[in-house]
Amino acid sequence: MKFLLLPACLPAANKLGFYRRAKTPFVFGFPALLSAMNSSRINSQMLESNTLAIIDSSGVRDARDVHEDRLSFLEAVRTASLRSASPIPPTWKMFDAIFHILRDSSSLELATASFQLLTDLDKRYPRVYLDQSVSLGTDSSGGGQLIVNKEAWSPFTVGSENFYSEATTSSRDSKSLLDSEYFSILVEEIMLGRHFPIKIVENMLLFQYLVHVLEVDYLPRQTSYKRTLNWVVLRESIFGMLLASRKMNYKSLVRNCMTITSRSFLHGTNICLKDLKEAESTSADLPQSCNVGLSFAFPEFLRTTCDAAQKFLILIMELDLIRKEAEKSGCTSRLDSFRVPILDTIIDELTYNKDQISPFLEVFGEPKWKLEMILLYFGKYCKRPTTRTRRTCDLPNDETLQGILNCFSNPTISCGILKKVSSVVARFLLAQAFKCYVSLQHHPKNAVFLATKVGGSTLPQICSSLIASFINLRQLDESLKFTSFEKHALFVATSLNRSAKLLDDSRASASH
Amino acid sequence: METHSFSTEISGTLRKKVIVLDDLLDDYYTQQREIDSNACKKAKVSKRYSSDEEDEKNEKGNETKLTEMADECEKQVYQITAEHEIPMWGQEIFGQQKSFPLVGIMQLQNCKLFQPSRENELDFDELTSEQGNGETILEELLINGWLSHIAFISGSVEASVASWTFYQAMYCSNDELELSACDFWCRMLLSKNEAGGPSIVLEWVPGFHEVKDVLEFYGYLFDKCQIVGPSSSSTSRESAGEGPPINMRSWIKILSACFQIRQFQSLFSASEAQELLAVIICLFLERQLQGLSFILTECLQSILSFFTEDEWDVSCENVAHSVAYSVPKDHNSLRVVECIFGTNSRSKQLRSRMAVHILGSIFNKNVSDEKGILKSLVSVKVKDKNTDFLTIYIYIILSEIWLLSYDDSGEERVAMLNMWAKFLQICSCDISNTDWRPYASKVRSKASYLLQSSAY
Repeated sequence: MKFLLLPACLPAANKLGFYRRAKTPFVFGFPALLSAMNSSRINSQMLESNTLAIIDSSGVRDARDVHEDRLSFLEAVRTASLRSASPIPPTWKMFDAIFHILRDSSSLELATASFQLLTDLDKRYPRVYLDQSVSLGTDSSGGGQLIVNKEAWSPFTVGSENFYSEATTSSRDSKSLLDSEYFSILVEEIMLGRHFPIKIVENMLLFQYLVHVLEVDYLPRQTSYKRTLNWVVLRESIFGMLLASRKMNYKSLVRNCMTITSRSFLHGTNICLKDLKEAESTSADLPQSCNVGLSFAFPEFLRTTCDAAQKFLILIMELDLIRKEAEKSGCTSRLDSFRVPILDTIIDELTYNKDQISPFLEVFGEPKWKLEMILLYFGKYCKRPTTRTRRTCDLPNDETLQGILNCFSNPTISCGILKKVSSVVARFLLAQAFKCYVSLQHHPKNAVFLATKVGGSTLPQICSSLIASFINLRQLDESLKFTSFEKHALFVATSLNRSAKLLDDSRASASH
Repeated sequence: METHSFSTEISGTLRKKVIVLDDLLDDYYTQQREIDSNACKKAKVSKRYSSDEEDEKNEKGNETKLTEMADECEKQVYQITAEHEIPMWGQEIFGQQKSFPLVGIMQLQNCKLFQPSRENELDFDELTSEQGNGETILEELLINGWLSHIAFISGSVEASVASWTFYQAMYCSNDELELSACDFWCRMLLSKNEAGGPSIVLEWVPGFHEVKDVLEFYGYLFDKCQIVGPSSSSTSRESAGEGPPINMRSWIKILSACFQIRQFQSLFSASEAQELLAVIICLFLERQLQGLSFILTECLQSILSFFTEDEWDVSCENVAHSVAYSVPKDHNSLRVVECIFGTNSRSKQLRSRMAVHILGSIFNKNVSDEKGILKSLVSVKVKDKNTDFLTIYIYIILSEIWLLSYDDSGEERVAMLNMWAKFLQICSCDISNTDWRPYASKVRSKASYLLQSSAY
């Protein structure tokens, strides 16, 4: 038996020795170069070759070695580019390598570490930001000038082909970056969840990172637009170019994001917990410990992914709002390709797929946009007689919460509406709209928005209208059962009404 | 003669002759066989004889040589694989969970929240019929999000509701209820009015003991001696109730929120915060929690920013010391230092201090004796046959974090850096390329990387 080991072990050992040697970087003198090397370009080139040497995996190597090398690569980049007293930004090749680890490592440990590093690098080296030091003379709002670093690395190739072809040589792997088509495929893959659990988590983290990139690229531009009314900065945002791209199916992207937001995909977490447990113990050839804790953290990944999808939808809504403004003031041109506003797409989806209404709106947390969606939805069904005569296409959504509640308090009008909208849906939407109203109500900054969407009513008026419309609905259908959510809406309405009345009474008695 | 015998006794002689010939042949063959076997025996005997006498030494030498070679090969194979038997980081810092206490429902009976609805003006049967069971209603209010709205309207959360929701987040096994309770608490703690102050008055808040008690129920091993060993696989924890419970995430999130509100309400003293900071750092050693590293990092950062300027330096030393002495001196000691992802000055300081405290505990030196630590570090022999390269690897990384984290250009520091650089040079040049011992090549690569990177 002892002799049998001989031929097997020698070549393996040789290989190991050989490839390890190839990896070691060339050694420079330590103090001599300290003063000589201060050109930042040479520095980043040196950093690039030194850090990339760590993950140089030429030749056949063990999975654990690859794993540990990647971890120490991420740590080395963090130290050199973030922790160092004189940090050097990573080069594109380094970014590509980190991004590659995030997409393709099959290890929970590496996926989380690379995700965290990429987001931290974005914070330290933003692509777009407002320079507060350069304030414009006429500026009173306090926002700085918009700075766009066109040479910064971005995971997207959307619309930035020219920069890439200029700045890089053929060595750059074009497959390593994402276009709009890939983005929509990624969203679909997450929704379907057909992969191995670790791949699902990787996709989720990738999606969260991409939405983060879109957001940090978009928000400073939005602030800048509000001050300068320069629509071009928004058209040139990655986000704007991604949505304008004809390579992807915009409607199905929105639909898939809605499904992800409502968390109805994967049918909750339970279905794959068994797979997850298996994935922890049988992960191909990686050390087992790399994926321990996958099932433990999965609900959290699911949650943050849903939040990212919701954020993506909200960003489109905000872009649409600004675009409408820009169109009115004539800033847009033929360069802006036509796109259906997202709210219309969502309302259509909710109209034709009524099962989606409650899961989607229950989870969708942004009260302003939720109220807007509900009002639009009702607006399709309860047009008041006065508005019916007008042309509806150029008419902005003038439904108010008070108006809708009035419709439902009136037995004849509500009977008409209930022929088109089921009572279950109507009650759910009314209670949700009330919840949005209540949550918007505690912040005075929402006063202007509320005045247009609610219709000038006070809190007690809205509360009594809600109660009245629920009583009306109950009278129309005696067998009606309220869900706990609706009961609590009523409960809150009555207590709010009551406390407001008590307050009024005490004020009245005090003044007398 | 032939003709004569042929003519006289032809038949008799013929028969006789045939027999004789057969006999002769038989005899010949048997003789020949005997000779052969004798010769064979002789040959064998002579062979054995000669080996015993003459070549004994040679033969034995060959044998031992071969066994030695085999042993050596086996050893080398073992060493090559040994690298993979060195456990990666990971420790089971959670033992058996205790059975979670039942959250008190009693105090909810006289909860003011339900008072106004008792005199409901509405005539809804469903609404009034469930009044008796306060907990069911509260659970529903929590899940559908109304509870936080009620709190925002009233501007306060009464003690019974506050503690009930807190313990729901800590102990409830219902996923939805736990997460809703956690969200509720984070939202309440971090609520802000226009002036930046808290907009909600919490009539009950958890203190250090509540937070620590929960951790004890989770089975967290405060006494590090109880730790069984490295968590190499998930299979070792097959029995239910071992390892951290799923509610751990809510514990981390709420703790993180608790540390962010110091300017309005300080829930912990500085020494309590130190203890919790050490706990959070140790949580990074638990493999089960590696997917939660984002919320752990967030929590770590909010604790770091909790300390005032006056408290910080002392607290940093205390935490670094207590973590250094409780962590095993293997990959785990690298993990506790590397898990601090933050890039602000406090994170860097804590990393650096932790690294030097761990080195101090390894060399049995006081941390104030920086030169002494460095001297013991530099005196490690690289060329020795029994060198443990994993330890050297740990030394190099810890010393890197210790020496390069903070920027200080004193003369003493320059001298120390030079000393360290010489050590790195030894590591990068004196370890042979063909050294297959575990971590030898990693030490060499790391040392040359550090030498390279210190050039810019």
